[in-house]
Amino acid sequence: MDYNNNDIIIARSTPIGSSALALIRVSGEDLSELLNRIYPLKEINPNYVYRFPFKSFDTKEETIDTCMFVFFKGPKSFNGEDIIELTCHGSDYIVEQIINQFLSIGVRIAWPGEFSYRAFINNKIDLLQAESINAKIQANSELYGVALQNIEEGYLSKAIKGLRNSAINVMTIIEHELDFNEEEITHLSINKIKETFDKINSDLVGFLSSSKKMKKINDGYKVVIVGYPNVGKSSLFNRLIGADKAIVTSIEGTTRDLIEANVRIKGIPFTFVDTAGYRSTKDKIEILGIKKSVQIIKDADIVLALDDKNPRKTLRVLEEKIGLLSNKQIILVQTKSDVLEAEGKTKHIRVSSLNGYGINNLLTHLLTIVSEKNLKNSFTNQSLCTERQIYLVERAISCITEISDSLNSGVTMDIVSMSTRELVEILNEMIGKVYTEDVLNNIFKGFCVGK
Amino acid sequence: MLENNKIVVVGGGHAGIESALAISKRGYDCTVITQNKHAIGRLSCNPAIGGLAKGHLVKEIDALGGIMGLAADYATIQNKILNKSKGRAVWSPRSQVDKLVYTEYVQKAIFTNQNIKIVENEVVDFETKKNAISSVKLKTGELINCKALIITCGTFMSGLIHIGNKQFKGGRMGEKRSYGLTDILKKRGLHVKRLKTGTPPRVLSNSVNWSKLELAPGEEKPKAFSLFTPKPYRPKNIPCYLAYTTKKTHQIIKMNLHRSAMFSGKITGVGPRYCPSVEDKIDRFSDKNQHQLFLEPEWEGSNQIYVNGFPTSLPEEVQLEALKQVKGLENVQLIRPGYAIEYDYFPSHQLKATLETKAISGLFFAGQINGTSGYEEAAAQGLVAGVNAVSYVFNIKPLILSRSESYIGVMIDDLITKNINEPYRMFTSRAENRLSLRSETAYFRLSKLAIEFGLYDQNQEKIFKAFLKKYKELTALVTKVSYIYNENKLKLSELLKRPAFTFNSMSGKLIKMIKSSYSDEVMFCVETAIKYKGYEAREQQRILKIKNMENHLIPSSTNYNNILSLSNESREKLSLVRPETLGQASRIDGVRSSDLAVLSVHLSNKVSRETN
Repeated sequence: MDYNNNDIIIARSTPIGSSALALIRVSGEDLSELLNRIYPLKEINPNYVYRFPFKSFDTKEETIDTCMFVFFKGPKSFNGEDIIELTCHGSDYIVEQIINQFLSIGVRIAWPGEFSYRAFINNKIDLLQAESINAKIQANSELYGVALQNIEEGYLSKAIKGLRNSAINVMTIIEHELDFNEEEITHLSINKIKETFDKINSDLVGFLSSSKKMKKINDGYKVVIVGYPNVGKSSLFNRLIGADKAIVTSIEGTTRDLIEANVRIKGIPFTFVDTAGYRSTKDKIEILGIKKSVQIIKDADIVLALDDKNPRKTLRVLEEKIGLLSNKQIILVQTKSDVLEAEGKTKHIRVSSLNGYGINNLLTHLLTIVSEKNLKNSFTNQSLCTERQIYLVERAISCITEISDSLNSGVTMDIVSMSTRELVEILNEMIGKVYTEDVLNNIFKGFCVGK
Repeated sequence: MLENNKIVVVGGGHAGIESALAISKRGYDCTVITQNKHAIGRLSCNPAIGGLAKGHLVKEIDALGGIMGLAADYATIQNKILNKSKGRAVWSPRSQVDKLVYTEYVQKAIFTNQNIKIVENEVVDFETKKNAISSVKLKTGELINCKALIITCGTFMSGLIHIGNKQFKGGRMGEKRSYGLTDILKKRGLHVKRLKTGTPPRVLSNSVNWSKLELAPGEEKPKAFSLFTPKPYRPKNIPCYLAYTTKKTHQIIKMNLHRSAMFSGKITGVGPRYCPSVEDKIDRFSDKNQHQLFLEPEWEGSNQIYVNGFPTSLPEEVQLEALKQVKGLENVQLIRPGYAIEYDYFPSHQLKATLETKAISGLFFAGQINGTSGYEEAAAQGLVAGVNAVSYVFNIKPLILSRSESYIGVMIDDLITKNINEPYRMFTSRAENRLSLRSETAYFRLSKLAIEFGLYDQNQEKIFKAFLKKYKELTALVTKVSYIYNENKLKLSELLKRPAFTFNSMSGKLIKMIKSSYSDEVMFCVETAIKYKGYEAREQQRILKIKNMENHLIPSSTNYNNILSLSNESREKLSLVRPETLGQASRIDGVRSSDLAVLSVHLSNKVSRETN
């Protein structure tokens, strides 16, 4: 179990999904070194707000987002430790990137209730409160699947358990070789071992993508509205979300920043994003806006390519700027159908944000795309789809890559066995405990050992 | 020394010997009580020391100043490194030894030691004051005052020997068992259980047709176990021989399975799965057409041959008939049959990490009484128990070895946290930090402790320090010099990182210079350390991760029934084992991780309340 109070822990405090702002919280006994990383060379006073560009820790160049933070110095914080509360823009992409920066330097994702657990350890909350947290800790570790003890086993945890068992089987073969085979006869079939790892790997990759899909279903599909200035992007945006969240004007280039809104359509969450218009500009703020648009288009699931005359032209420009958009669903939309006729005969949806013409058609189209694309993969067990698990699966995959490399370059079995053990430990972290005894029991079951 | 500060060691096997010697090295007296002083240091089963994982234990015992490695080196008649193709972390040295020479070496060390007194007798009872050992009572009625008592009685406690359907009481073949102490310990609240082990038949050398067997020679350049064995080390290299069981052997055994003591249900004790009897192997793996047998001489020029691979409790005539079906053994004669032996052991969760019983202060257990099997496992525990008996008597710092620093630590931690229901032997897979715990790193890991606890004599300390100095010198040297390899000039330390490159890959002036100033052992240590450095670092990360839990003490007064949110299963296990640290608790089979969180919350709460 990873309940190490010496670790620095991190978690997102605001819910997943887009919002104007998101809060990330970091806690540890002494965060002075960490503070120095994010806000170097400056004296920091506790309880003051600082605004700063959050840069990648290793390159120190690329700015991820402009953030704010407050530093609470322990013991004068809610849990008695040093705490950094970092506010960034509320996009999942940004939050994930920032959290990854911390993970890369050894900070780990907090267990459920762990910030409060530390508050209790540090005597900041009383017994009654502690007992309720106690219950929470228990409930959550059960949720994380001590799979054998759960009556209702989750789909993912069952599958991971299967993979763990295959890994244990390989480990059994290797350990038998190391611990029992005194004669120098190799019974190991390296190819067979590789095959097993390949199989585990492809399953893990599968989980990862389906987990990400499930996460998607949970977080919503990102629909980006793109087009030249003044073709009516913000008007359509407002129509779609049914509120005046974006400022809609007819002056070119007004929408300088990205504007997002979450909407549920027939129960499926969508995030609509309004982007700055595509055109060459000398206005510095607007250039930044366009840069962001490029990133957001890359992250999008669906792109609405808008134009009031020929939406295909918009698409062409997009492809010139960003490259092929083959992994995206593109919908060509001709706006202002109330005042303008379409050019040519390209297949597109004609809408009018003013009188609502074609909007229903567009929404139906969106839903069709989404259900065709992903819904068949079902909503199975969304609850298991945590960031922690995705992180673990990613680690398991990199572990297998290492094992394959070792096997291919003739590294000895004692070392391969370490990576295999690590793999089992990672899978195990997702579902419960494993004992050396499991491996030994397997050996005794399957091999004739002893002289 | 005051008479009543004395330590009594019961038994003169591998555990008892190391206990007594460790006590004397720390400068204190002890009395060893044994039925027969000429049986001290006897190898009661196979004529070999070391082997897979056991070789690591021997090195660690040596690094802690024990005698096993020295005695084995002295008595070696053939030496081998096992697992050579599988990576240096699992290379394990093993020596075939001359049993007579081995015993002679050990006895000389014991008999000439001024601090060790030998009493030929049997302990039948002990007395306590305030639940702490105060004296032992001998069979003949005398009382010996003592402050600590180490029991290392092997298979002697209520020993029962089985051959076919015959049974007789005994500690080993031809030796009396001990009886009575079990009941005394039971009355004191200790749980007792039964285990069984077995030994193969011994056959007459003259009756074997050696020319029909396969030759199994030893290493050409053998390595000594002990750093302290005089160099150059050139032991004998007497061959062993390989034979194979046949279908006919299997047939005979199958037909007579019901007559085996193990199969007829006469034995209630549990045997080791890793060392199954030959009837067990044939029954469970009926698809195998042959099993390997090693024929090992018990001493140089011995007419007594140990048939390794054939432990059995079949009737004598069946053993003989089955062996006769083996090529080369057509006319074989038995010197004595194989047999199974059942004995009492005390499930080892009743011990602290010092090997002192939790129930009675000053009472220590080591060896088979704790459910382990093997000379090396016993010796290692004996050493730890001996050191800690002294620490106990004088109330000074005990020797507690961690899982991350030694195989001995892994073994003791397993013993006190796991449910041992078959004879426990060491495996490298039990050590999660196997890549760091290589046999050649034993001295870097443990010598400091040996010196701190006074387990090295002056000469040993001198040898170790000289070795360390050379090691550091060469380590520094390889980072400074370059070597041309495959037309590339590279730092030697970089080249040595490559799996296939060793000092032996080199030629020319540089290696000549290195070889003239550094021993093979130092060179081996340096190159291996370089090759494993990266992996050690990764293991180190894991060690740091769990260190906090290892240091988190659980008060012995903890009442698990008062911690309401614990699951019933965990509560039961925790109440039974009574772990000393949160780390130990985490390794108890069946304790859930969620319950560990609960326990940790409870403990922290308790601490904070107490400090308020």
